[in-house]
Amino acid sequence: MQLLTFTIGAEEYAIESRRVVEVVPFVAARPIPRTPDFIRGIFTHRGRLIPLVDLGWLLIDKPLRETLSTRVVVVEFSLGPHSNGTGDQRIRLGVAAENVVSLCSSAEVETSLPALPTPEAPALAPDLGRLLRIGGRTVQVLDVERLLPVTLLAGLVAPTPASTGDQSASY
Amino acid sequence: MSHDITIEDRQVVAPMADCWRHVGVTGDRSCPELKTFIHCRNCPVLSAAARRFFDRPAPAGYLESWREILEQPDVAVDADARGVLIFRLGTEWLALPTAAVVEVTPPRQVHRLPHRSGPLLAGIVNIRGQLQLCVRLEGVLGMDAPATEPAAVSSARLLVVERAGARWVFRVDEVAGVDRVPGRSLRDVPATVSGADTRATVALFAWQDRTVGLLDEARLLDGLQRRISG
Repeated sequence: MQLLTFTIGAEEYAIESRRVVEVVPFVAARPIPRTPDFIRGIFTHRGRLIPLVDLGWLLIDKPLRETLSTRVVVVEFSLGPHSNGTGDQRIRLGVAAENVVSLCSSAEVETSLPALPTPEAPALAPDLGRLLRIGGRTVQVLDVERLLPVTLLAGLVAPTPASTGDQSASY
Repeated sequence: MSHDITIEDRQVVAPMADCWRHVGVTGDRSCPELKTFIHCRNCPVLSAAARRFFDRPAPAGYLESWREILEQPDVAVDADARGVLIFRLGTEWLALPTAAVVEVTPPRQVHRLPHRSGPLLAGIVNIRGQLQLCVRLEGVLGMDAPATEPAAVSSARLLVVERAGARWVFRVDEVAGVDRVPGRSLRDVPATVSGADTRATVALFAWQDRTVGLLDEARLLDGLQRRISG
């Protein structure tokens, strides 16, 4: 398994590379009124509108430094089948982070902590993913499915009206 | 658990600024660390420089131009497109599916087979140590034979094609290259085409202001063995 590593603040995080569609520069997004700070807005990616999540605001309540290595990782994942049985609900998210410049292999993992020790208090610290010790660094692997609250994700995959058949209407 | 020391664990001191331009792979290659890292891209000095390079604000207009690039929808890949090798035989431009082509080689001596060589079979030719039958494609297609067989035309090539485990070699006058032809640009062969045997030609397409006949390797090669030995 390959991991795409990046930093938020001073700490190192990663996303499994099989979730990653593309890594693109940190482009401007159209803000959406009255959404949380960590939703930078909506941007157009290859003809589709996808939400842009700012991991700086989401994880440590600080904006990202805007450098060339601050990039948007476009991830795709499945929320399981639609409730109306019309197939897979696939979600694309843009996830912005700093120092998105390198990959590492989980073959080098020395030890890991499968879950943070707060499973009974998810409101206190949501379990975003396991911690790995790789080559002398401690990296938290973010589960992209669990980055956003479920209620927010549900709004992004609202069933498309049956009358519009084009795929761009899936968001 | 044993821990292998990777090359990135080593500390390397850069001998000078931009060392990769002076003593590295784009310089005179005199850096002693090249023995370890083989190429500057494996060296921590270059990695650190790359990180410093990216640790600066984006230049003016860069993000704006990327926003426009990302707004373009994905170009759908034409599922009908097929890869073809385009070549010239005499005055005719023809194409074969690339899947059927094994090799294109410079021409070499074709050894005639007594009592066997004729309008179809030119002889046998040595391809990578194996003797293969060299067939006159113009004879197979019923085209006019070239008036004079040029002794040494630099553009001439031998095509090695494979069909159902059997390999055949054709001499062609020129190989233009490999291209992808969208399915919608293939046209039917007119029923009135005279001269060349059109049974092996399944479609025509326009390519660089020429009309190219697309050959079907199954129709071309099936039965060739029977026709030659018969």
